[in-house]
Amino acid sequence: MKKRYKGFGRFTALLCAIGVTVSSHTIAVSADERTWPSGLSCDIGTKIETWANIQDGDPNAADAVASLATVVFCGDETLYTGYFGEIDRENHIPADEDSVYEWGSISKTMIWVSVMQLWEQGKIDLDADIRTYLPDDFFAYLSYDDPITMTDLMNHQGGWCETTYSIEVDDENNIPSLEEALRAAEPAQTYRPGEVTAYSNWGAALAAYVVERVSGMDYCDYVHKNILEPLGMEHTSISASYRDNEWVWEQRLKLNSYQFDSQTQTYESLGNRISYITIYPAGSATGTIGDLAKYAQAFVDDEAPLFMNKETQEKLFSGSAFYGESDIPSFSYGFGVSEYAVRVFGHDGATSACMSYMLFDRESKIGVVFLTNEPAGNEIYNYIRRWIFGWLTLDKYSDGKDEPCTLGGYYLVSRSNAAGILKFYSYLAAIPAERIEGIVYMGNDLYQLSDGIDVMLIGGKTYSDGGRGFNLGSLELIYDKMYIPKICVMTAFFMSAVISVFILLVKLKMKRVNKLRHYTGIGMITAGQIAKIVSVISVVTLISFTAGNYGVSKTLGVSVGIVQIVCMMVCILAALISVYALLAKKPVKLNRLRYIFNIAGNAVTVFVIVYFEMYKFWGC
Amino acid sequence: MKTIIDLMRVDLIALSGKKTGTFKTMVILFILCTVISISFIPVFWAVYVFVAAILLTPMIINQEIRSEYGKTFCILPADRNSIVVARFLLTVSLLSAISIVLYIFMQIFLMTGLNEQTMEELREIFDMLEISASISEFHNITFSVAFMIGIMVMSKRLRNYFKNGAVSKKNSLLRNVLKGILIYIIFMIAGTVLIYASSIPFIQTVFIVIFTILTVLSGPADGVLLCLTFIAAGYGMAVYQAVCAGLEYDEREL
Repeated sequence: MKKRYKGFGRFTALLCAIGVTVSSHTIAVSADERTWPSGLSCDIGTKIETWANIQDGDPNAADAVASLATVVFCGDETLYTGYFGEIDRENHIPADEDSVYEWGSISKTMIWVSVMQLWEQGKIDLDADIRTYLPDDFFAYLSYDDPITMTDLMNHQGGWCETTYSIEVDDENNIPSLEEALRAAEPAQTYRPGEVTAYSNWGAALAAYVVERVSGMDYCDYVHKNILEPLGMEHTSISASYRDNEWVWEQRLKLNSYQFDSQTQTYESLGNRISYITIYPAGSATGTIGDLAKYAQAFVDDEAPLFMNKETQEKLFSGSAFYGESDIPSFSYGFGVSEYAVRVFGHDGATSACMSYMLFDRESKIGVVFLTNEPAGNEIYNYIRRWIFGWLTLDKYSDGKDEPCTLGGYYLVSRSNAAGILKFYSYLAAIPAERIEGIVYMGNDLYQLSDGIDVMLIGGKTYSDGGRGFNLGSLELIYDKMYIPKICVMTAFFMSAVISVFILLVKLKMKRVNKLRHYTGIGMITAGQIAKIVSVISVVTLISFTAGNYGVSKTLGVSVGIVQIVCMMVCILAALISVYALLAKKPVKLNRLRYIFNIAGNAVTVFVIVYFEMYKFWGC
Repeated sequence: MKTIIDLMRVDLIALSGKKTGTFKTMVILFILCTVISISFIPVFWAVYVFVAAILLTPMIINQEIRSEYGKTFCILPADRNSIVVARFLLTVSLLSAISIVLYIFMQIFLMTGLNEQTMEELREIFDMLEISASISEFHNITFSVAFMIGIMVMSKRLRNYFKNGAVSKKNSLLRNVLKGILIYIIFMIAGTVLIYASSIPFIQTVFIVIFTILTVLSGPADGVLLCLTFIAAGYGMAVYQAVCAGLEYDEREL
């Protein structure tokens, strides 16, 4: 996919010159040529259709899309609507205005709209501790006593790390209530509230639960009554089971998901990928592109149809978190803020079946919504957003006194499993500073990162413990000065397991020829060697099941946690018996070395299990 | 310990005598690998580590056969275990020293950026194959894999020498080369079968898991985590082969 994206730039002009080839699976209402906020003058419909269809004329070319639906609008006027491909390629069901897609995290914006509606009614104080609105002792794993405000939740600064366990269930009958789901999936609070931005599905769903508590209505009913019905969004469901809108459920059954196989250059079916998100307000909205467009258009409407007062909508987009010490917002009360040639607001979303995008410029009132049944997304969106909104240029926020800066060390990603059995994984995914090339300092703790084409704003941060980090919008990179020592210990952990394999092989060989000499604690020490190997195998198993998935199953997590606890106990006993033998038995030189190495190996294993919380299968 | 050091000295003195054909082959291959590494890609020094590992044992054995210094072992006050330990220590130390020097060479040439065009092409290949590893990671991991396999092959050959004797037909270079070719062919066939079998969901899953683990572990600190684990595996195997060799040599009738 990456390669196709790169290559596209070179022949875009050529494709535009060739003209439009519309396939039988394309339905489009095209706009006239106009000048977009990017500065580009073109007929956006022609450009989109050229991209989506040109390869249909070539029998040897790969398909450009599985299926997608997109709407470009200006205020309440729809400039372009396009449907491409098939939502079920096996049964040749084309994408059309009745096709529904999962909106993923765009659902969260409904939480934030609900919160702002309750705020303007005076029912929610954005700066009050949310515990005011929650049942007593709702939280089981808080690490900080500091208040957590609704603004913190909207800025994803509640302090929670990523959840270890999957937040999806396969059986509709197993969907718990929102409160039960939140209690069951509560992650560890690894950051001080209001300090670190770490995008959190759980935190957003918690805000929805506050909406439930304050409004006295089920969240699903609240959204239907206060968002979907006022906007006439009749083809959208909100609940985890899709069953709050039977029409949507029927349509959803027709949608299959596809992934592009770069080897065969074809789309492979992933099936319908229906699963149920337990903390559903964070990502369960499903609907047509028409409804998503209506929703997005409400945010560029000066009449602010979702609010009683226009000022509430103005506040919603006034910015709530900022890059460094600047006044450039990185978040605006839950809405993402992106800098292109113009400042745009919106959100994107991803589920295991679909990818979705919503972007709008409140100045020009131009916006785009985009839905596809490719969970990895479709590269055409990268072009659409650039055609419409352009690029942020290096000079836009620069005063000409930029200083190139060189970073060192390693940075941990805030949106990661910073606690629990997957904690080690966040260290394996650390980012070396040397890979962050092309960064310049612009004053006010504001930085710009550029690869020559794309420019990205970054905010510098100093945390309450004196540590440093960078704010990239929905997540932060946190400098870890002790990264190398930690990774060395982890390496020693893997190495001690590898060495244990060979020690056991040697012992087996010696035993076979009856030359195995017995020494104090040989049984326990051998058990310790086996425990080290088992510990590493369980970590490797966890890596295998975690990579590419959102969370692990509870069964796997608990099993690995218990295995690690047993391994830790065995290693402690093996180390203790070696200490005893060393001190009490006064062994000869070779045996003394054997005991010392054994103590070191077991100590490393125990340290890694404890420090990286490999045992901690609860509260994460 | 003194006996072991004395025995190592005997081997070193013998090695410094008239050079065997194996030594000359090693020198020629070193020059070849160096030329390719400097003019093309520094990772070729990793190939030499593997070559050195294969040739070190026959070089010492050939020297022993030629100068018949093996007989001196009979008059030295040394037990069989010491002889095994001394030879394993010497070969492993020599290979480690060669590897360290070549690794430093490799790093220096990587830093100089002399082969920037080749590196750029390599990056494009990585992009094409969607491999996220950096050039430095790739070099480190390839080098450590070459070292691991090399030390494993070398220690196995040394064990065979103690098991079968220096002049045994089982230790002949031709026989070992043929054995190597046979193993290579088996690996190629197995690899081809696995690639064809990769469309089978189970095999595909296994591939993905292995690839994922290697990718994740190779990430931090330019692959150091994975490299040290490979190196530990190499040394571990050498220790295992040394113990086995000691036991087998002890039971062998000279």
